[in-house]
Amino acid sequence: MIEISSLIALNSGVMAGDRSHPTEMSPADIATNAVRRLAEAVVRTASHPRAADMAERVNILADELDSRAPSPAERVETMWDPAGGVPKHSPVAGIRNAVAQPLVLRYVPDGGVEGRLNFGVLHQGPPGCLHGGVAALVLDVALASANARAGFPGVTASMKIRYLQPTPLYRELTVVAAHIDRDGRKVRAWAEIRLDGEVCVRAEGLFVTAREGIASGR
Amino acid sequence: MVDDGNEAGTEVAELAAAVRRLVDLMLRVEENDPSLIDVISELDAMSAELESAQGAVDPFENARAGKWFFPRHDPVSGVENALAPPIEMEFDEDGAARASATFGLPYQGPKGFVHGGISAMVLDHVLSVADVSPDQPLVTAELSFRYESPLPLFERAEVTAHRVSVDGRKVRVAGDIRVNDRIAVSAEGLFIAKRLDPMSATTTEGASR
Repeated sequence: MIEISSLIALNSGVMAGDRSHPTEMSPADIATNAVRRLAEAVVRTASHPRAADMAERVNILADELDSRAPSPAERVETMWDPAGGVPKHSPVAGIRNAVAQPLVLRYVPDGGVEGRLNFGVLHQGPPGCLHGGVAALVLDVALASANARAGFPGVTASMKIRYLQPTPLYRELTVVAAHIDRDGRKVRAWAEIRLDGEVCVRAEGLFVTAREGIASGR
Repeated sequence: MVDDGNEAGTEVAELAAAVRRLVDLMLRVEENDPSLIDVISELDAMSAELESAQGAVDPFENARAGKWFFPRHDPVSGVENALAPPIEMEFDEDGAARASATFGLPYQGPKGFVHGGISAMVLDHVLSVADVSPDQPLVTAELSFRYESPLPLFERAEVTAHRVSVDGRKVRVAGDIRVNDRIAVSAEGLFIAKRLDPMSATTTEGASR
């Protein structure tokens, strides 16, 4: 039911390796950053005398863009890069998805993956802290990436998350994950969100590889 | 019943809803659409205008502005957060939480389906508000998720959560996400009730809402 090609793209794309030389951003990528900035400015606004006018103007801009864009259902069919490139639309890693605070996971020498994140008020749960659900979202991707890196891309079967201490906003966080073991099509991984080396949230996940997916590896 | 403080339809919520349309459109527009250059400058001008009316970034500002427990700004149900689907929350007479949402392109994982992490995010949120009262906030200690069937995009998903047991300050909650009565993801959570404390609404205690 789930296409393995899209799955591999999803799980391998977040591990684009060293992005110290970022690729050039397209107008749509830059516009997505403008949308992120506006979303943050709006969420921080209690009230503003021009809010209604701005809403009207943004709706007009959206109408214009919508009139030239494919429908969401049509777009699902065309947005996946058949070559399995970096998924710009991922809600965790995608530079074209304003929901994402784009996460880049790199291979680390001992076999896991690692990335850095810094969240703001758009991802707030308790006052000043990261929403626990956003932590779960990021950890799910880190678990999948660690398994994909080990050669076993798969879908999440179950995941257990422990919240050990609050995860603050506006601080540099580290996401670390590694594959644990494999039993047939079942693969396990752990992942953590850390602040200054201390674990804030820890996840363990059981993933299932597609039957034909094992051979294709990462 | 709990007043969730979300009077829909305020101007800031309308602006967030318009920005939410742009979040979706960025995933559909032609990559090099020349009209985007003007869109970028218009959006940046609006951001600058809103930012100039704000002070320095204060991560606690929303908490200070009112009840944080049912905020308007959170990334799951927040009507003023353009990144939130947003899910629409209701509470039954017995306190069980119900929510519904239709997930679009920004929430895609595998082709045509909701990202497993997005399902987890939504369940975390709904479980954490099931059976709560504003004077007894819960802190998430542990959550587990089972993925039972794929959750399709563009279909109405129903999320429910109810309290299973209370043992001292330990509260167990269970819930699931369904489409057409079929369970896609189920979840169980262990929450710790915070000590009643007049300062509790302004502390940073707790790892999840």
